[in-house]
Amino acid sequence: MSNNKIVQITNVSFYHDQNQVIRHINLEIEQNGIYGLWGRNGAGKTTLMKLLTGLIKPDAGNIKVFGERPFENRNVLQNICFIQENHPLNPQWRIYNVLTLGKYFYKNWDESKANIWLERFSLHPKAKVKSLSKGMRTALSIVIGMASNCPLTIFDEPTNGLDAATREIFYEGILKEYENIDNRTFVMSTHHISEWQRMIGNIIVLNEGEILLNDEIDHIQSEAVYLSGSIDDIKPFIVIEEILEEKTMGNMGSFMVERGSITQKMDRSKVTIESVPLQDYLLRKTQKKKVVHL
Amino acid sequence: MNQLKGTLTIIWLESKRNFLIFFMVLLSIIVVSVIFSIVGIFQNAFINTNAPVMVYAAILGAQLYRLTFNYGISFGVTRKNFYYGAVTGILGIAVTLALLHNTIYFLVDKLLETFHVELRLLNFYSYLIEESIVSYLWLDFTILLFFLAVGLLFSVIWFRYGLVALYISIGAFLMTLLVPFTLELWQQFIKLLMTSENLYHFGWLAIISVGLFLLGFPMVRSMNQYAKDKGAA
Repeated sequence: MSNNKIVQITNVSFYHDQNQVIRHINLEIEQNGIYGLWGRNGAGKTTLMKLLTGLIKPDAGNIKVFGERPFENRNVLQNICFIQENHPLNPQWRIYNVLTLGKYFYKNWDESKANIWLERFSLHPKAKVKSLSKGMRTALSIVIGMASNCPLTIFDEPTNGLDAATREIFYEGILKEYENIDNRTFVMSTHHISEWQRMIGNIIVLNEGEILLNDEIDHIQSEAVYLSGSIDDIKPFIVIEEILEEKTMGNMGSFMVERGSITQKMDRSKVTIESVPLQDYLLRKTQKKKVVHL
Repeated sequence: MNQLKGTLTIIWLESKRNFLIFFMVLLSIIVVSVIFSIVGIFQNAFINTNAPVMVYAAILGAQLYRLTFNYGISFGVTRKNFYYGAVTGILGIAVTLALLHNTIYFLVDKLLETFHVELRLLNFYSYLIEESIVSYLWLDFTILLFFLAVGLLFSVIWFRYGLVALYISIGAFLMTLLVPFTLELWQQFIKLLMTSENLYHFGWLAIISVGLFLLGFPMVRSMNQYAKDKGAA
């Protein structure tokens, strides 16, 4: 294993009731970074995270985290914290029970950090889990993730149910943590990439169990453009089959394409080129039917 | 060690509430029966506490793994360590149940005798061995451990292979017990075990429980997290 690669996935497949939900994935994650994992529902994000954290075993291929297989491997598992969407927490537990369990199971558990995060989210240690709203439960899961101090911390949809103010607290906290502490890598799965854009270095896009894109976020975003103008001035210069989104009205049109789909130089005075919001690009990129006629 | 502590904490947090409820109900039934006997509503009545404790142990054993596995594994505990923790927890539960049950039995029995209440506290073990705190405790422990172990094994089968496998294994278990009853040799063997002090002296139920714990272990080692959903389906 090279020194800075903490995750190495080689040709991994996973089946769930005969459906192949992960298809021959190859992936590497380097130490110290915030990674985004984006995909539509059913793309395989959660399955991939469960494979990484040893909750499930791959049917084929090889997964190494910190140089070892994670499944049933305490050396690896004590360095990974996986906060699932709707993280399993018994409704009868009190918040301080959750913190006690965190202390037992994570070797780098930081009690003071847990208390700081509880305060940030206005969570009272004596409150029962069942008395918490969905957002507060999510916040409690975040407290576990942050206080675990695990070198690899994975959050599955961490902001689901959080209000805007709490989200801000979380984003700021993550950034601070990343800036101040070496040897911490975060992987965040999300449907809403726009919120994470300013924090994430690399983004991994999953589609139907395969890795569609895996690159720096800025690079991925610069890949797609909107071309607007007369259809006659645009269509001859692009690969029609590769149009991601098409909106036409009369002879005028707007086309979302990747830069690689532009075959010849266009007359810039007749065609407007604009950047595409990343969320829109990813949605179209992973969409089967792409044509929209107005 | 920390994983064991963590697993035991999860088990304790999970079972303490129903533990409390069960003993509250049991005590309430005893108190009501005593009152009814004193005022004459019950005449020549008897109550038994063995059966409810055994049923409770079986239910607890069956629920424990299903309810706690997901929490443990989500905190990064290995399946192996979690199973060790679960078995240790079950041993602790069997000891605690036996202690509490026998404390209640001997205390209530003494009180009934002292105040001449016409209510009989029936204990199955009085047919098997001489009454003493130690012998009743040991016997209770082995029997409750057996019920907990059976419950745990079925719970693991359900979790690992689903509902159909659970029904098949329960059927197979009952057949193993019932079919040999047609054989005279088996009948004599069971009689020997149940009607003599062998049950107490050999603690064979404890030995069988260890076997059941070992049987469940390989099933747990390769268990995926979502198997719970399959089991619950």
